[in-house]
Amino acid sequence: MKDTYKEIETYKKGQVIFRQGDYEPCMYDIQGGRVGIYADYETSGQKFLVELKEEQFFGEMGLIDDCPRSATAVALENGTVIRRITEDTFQTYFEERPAKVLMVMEHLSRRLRELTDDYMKVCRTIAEGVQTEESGEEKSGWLKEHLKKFAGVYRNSGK
Amino acid sequence: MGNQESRTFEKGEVIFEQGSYQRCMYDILRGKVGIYVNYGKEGEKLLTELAPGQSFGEMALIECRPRSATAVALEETKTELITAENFSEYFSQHSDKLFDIMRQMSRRIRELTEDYMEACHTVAEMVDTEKSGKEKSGWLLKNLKKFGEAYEASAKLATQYGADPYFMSYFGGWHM
Repeated sequence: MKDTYKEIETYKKGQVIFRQGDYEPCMYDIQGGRVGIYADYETSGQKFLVELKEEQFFGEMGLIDDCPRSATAVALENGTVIRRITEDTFQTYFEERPAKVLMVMEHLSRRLRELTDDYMKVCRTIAEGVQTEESGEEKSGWLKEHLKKFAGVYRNSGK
Repeated sequence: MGNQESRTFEKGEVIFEQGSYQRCMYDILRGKVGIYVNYGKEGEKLLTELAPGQSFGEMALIECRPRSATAVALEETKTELITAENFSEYFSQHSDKLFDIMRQMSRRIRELTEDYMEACHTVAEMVDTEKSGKEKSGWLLKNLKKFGEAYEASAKLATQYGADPYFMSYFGGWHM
């Protein structure tokens, strides 16, 4: 696999870096340009998830967990430069760039914190929904809004 | 390197206390460490036991937050102290440890994403069932209970014991 990929690659606007469902055990460091992450890219259900720029990481779960890509990454401008970090180059990459250690940890830690907040909120919605039903009271504005929001998250996930 | 400091703790000695603020982490060279919430108080809970080769305290260091738990030496324990100043250098020299921490965080992100989606599915079913006026399915009842309890457990930990739900999430001890 490692022979088919270059370590540093330049992409044109609109070029796909990896596709949802692909297996490729590596993570990426953006050296220049911008990258868009999409769910269900080029389908009727296409959804833009996030835009990433220089100095940001993406795709680390593919390297670490060895699981298929959960989204598609697309270069958003010409001359987007990506460095590919594989299990073989991981050690050298961080040895040569100690400053990246904290950046990659902060990146993961931020995602875990955001996800924990969302998970807490949906659990709270369920707990309050059950409580409101049992007490026979009217639903609060907060509850209505969150029931709608989280039911929508599920419906848009295409599952 | 060379500026790492090793420190030995006696059995039962507290390495750091929940709520305290220090920018350092520890790598266990020898011994055993217990990570507790609410140590020595009501609601004390052992979250995990760590062995040589494992590290702890990195989250407070990465995030510049107070300690979310208390670390106690469960037997005579020798540690290497890693401060904020040599953190990046340490992990760049020990990329296997960096990989381990990334794997742990990444695994939690994946598990939590699954839990999150299942909880959203539960909300969708809850809304649909109410609209249709039908009886709740066994699946729905089970999940309402499960996620409701998860919320209560985490709210209780957060309000009574000042525990950070994110930290629980990091250790994978959510449903507790």
